[in-house]
Amino acid sequence: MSELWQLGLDELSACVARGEASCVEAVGASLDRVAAVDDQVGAFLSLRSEAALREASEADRARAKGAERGPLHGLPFAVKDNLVSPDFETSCASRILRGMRAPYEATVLARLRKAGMVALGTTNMDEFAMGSSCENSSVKPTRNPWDLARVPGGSSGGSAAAIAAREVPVALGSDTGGSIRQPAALCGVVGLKPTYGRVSRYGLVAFASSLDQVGPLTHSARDAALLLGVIAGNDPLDSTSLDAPVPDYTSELSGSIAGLRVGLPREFFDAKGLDPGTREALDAALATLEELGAIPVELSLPLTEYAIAAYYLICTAEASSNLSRYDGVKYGLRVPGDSLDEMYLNTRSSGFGGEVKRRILLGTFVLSAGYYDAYYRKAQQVRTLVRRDFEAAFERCDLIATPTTPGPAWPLGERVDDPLAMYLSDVFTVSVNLAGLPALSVPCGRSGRLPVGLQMIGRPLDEPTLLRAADAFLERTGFHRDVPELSGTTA
Amino acid sequence: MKIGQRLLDELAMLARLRFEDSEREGMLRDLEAILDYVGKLEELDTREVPPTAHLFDVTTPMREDRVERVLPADEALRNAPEYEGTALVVPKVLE
Repeated sequence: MSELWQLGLDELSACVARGEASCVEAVGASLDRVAAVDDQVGAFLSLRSEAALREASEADRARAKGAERGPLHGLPFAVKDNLVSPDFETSCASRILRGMRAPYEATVLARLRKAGMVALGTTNMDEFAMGSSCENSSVKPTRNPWDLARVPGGSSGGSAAAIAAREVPVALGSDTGGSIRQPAALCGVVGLKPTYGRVSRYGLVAFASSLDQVGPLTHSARDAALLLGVIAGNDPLDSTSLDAPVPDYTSELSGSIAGLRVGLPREFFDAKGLDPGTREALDAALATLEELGAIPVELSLPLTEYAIAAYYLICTAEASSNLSRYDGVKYGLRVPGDSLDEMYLNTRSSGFGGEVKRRILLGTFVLSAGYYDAYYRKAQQVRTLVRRDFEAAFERCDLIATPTTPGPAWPLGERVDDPLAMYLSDVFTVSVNLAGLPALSVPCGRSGRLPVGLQMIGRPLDEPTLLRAADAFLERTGFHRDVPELSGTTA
Repeated sequence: MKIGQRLLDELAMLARLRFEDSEREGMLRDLEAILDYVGKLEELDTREVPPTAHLFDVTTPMREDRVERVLPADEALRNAPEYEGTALVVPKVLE
């Protein structure tokens, strides 16, 4: 029999339902696993061990009385360090917020709590979700469980690494330009970015508000479906959240994708710099989808090569505005100064890391008088073209399949001095955010010994089709059951 | 696109950021490289294209003008670096 820490959310839930394990054992197994391997991986920034065990024990008592709140009651999850709660500190891995404990709770966390889930702790990230390697964390780097000398991807690198190392069955992340899908791909796990507005952003620390979206990182597509069902839905506290009914995502996992038209945009497959091992894994994955009855449709998304440029103009503009709130007055770090302006300058210059400052400056430039039309407005117009590109593509197919990243995880330190090279690692993910579409990454084999991700992109609100295809693919190939060997294994 | 020291100073001032002399060259080089890269958008003719600010048609939802959640002042101030009573304390702004 598998150890408890090896189980995904659905399996763990079944195990508890059958009485083979208690919630305290389930949460305890996660905590033990963290204790065994996280000094190597570095996925977690904080743990609430005692509180989590206490909540698990309350869940066991509720279950004993037949008062369980649902299949996830008493099961553990991890939280990216940019979702706020009075239950723990939230820092966005930044010096400027260290020690901040919000007086209110993010809607996604409130929904998981209502479902009875137990927050285990917070996970590492690139500062304010700005980065693609987790190396921009002001606290520490996180390492890729498949090769500890390599990055886990970012910005939700801590959440992805925690899932890959089987420290927790599910973790929340956020995705502005690929920050769930890219680390999921590099760590060989499942990562889902829902449609913009599908999940409430209330209590998600804002980076680029027109692009940000919260989503799950999980072992399997089924677990992603389970979790999405809990966190999705309209929220009066987020006026951009969509008022669309939430389907039962798990009931859509029929295992059948016969007749599904899968669009293959040539710009992604013929991209310069696509790693040959990634290409090989992708070709095999597409062959599998065909065996399962999918119909390949070759198509073109000609705006792909412009997406990164438009994305970095829009996200930095929004970030420069969103991050103006960190001023040393209301919360977080204050570095004193003789005047109010001096205090702002001292606080912000000392509190923000290099990449955050770079993006604030770029965004300030993009929005400044004289440059606004040439840069910001231009980027918003290109955003319209990117959306139209996808709309045309979806007239010919039901979902689009691409590599998630141009290559597998790279060595720590390799790209830290070249921001543009780091930005280009998001080349396959950012256009999805510009168009607000749902997309996920599933493991689809290896390049050498490193995981490769298959990205699937859907129509707005068509998460059911994405999850059904992902589930059918993983059940056929079993790639999601591959687990890296870590020396600290608790067995 | 050339940014230059003067524009860098202006932007830094607007963003309330200060850069040490040792940081300035690198920051300038990075910004200029990024702006050169995004310059490729000029290849696209967007004269007739409306900008996208909102992805989906969402109208501002209305609700009754009724007090719902109130954050008590002490809770709201709990994270403030400095406060007195129910007021945030900042360096003197008036002489």
